[in-house]
Amino acid sequence: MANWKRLFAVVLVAVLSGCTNFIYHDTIVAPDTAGVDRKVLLWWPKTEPLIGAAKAGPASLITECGETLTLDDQPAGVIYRGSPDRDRLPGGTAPVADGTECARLQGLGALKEFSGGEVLLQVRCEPLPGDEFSAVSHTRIRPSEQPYRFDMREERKWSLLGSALPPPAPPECKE
Amino acid sequence: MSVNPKKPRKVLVVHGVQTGSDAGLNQHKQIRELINNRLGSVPLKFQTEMYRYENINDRAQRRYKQLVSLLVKTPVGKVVAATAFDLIADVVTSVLDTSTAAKIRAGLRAQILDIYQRGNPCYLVAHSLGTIYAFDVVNELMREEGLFERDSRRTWPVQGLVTLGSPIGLAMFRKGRTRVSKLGEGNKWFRWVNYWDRTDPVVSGSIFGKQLTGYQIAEKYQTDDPKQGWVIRDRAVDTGRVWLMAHTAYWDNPSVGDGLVDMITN
Repeated sequence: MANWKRLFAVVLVAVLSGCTNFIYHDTIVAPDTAGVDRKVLLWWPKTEPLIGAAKAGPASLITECGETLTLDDQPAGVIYRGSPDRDRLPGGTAPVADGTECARLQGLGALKEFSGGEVLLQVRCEPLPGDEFSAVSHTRIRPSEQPYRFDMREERKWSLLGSALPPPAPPECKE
Repeated sequence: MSVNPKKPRKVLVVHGVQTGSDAGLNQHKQIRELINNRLGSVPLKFQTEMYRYENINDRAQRRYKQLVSLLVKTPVGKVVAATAFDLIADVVTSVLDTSTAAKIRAGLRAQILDIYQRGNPCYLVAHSLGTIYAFDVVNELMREEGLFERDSRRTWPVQGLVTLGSPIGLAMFRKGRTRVSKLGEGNKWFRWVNYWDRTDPVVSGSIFGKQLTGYQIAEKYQTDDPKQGWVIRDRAVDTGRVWLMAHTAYWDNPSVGDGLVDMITN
């Protein structure tokens, strides 16, 4: 009888909290806003629970020796929303209005709907100069009319209680 | 007074609803490890420290706990009742804005100002119920003369706010928190990033962890007023876990880590 109770408890826990955890990631080499070729990492997590809807994100876009941008699911798509403290349009000096679409992932509806393959990244803004509190160079992947192509690789693991998979390490800055 | 951007950054961590005592609360160590893991090779000097207030709660609740203990007969029942009471009473203390809540805010404010006097730039990371106290104290400090002069970040006792699994979107916590304090005119912006998991019941108020489908919690505080001076972002984060386990999974979440690194390096 005790064994049946244990089995029931394990099944119950698995049904309530079991899930498949994913990570999607790719690193490309692209010019940054200072004109230097840099490694650029794009990655995000996704979880598919046994019960309930999938969830995912946000996506991190990390430029070697530069900034980290966060793209998240919004009604308008998967975008990085610019802010007046850090973004401007190329060639301009004025900051963008808060919430301006400064980067977009194309080729997917929402992060949770993605299941591997190609993703295009359109970048529209460049960084404003930092201030005395900036500890990283205010550079990032350069804005371009041609989108950057990421061939996203998938890592997956099933887990009873759920757990975030280890993410790819940020590109190393050797400067 | 002012802070020196060259000094090590302090990440002040505020816990949420807890059982036990202050001695067992060391989430700042998890945050330190998380930042180190996502910082990569960026040469940033930073330190983390805790603001603990569970003992303040426990002292205020001691008599009621003894009463609960008398009402329950079995040893297991006593433990369960004491734990449940501990958690619920922490929430009630905050919602009713009792004198204990005022003491908790005063303690947090004192710790922030202590860091300020030492000249370290301070970044606040708060979890769960702690986000309510952090929100209140930051807004209170913003209203004080001489602090938070908008165009001089050196006068800011807090450089940025990160909230994790915050219940601030729930109606019971909105009372008295309908807007944020204005920074005034200027070009600098105070950043508040609110991380939440869609299945976190403390965020949604759904005890069964029903998924929230919206996009805005903290961003409801954002206005078009140029004098507001806040950049507020909600970030729905996949913690890899569901329901109550999602609520406790922010501390080592790498997406939160990337966002934290972004905040404290800027």
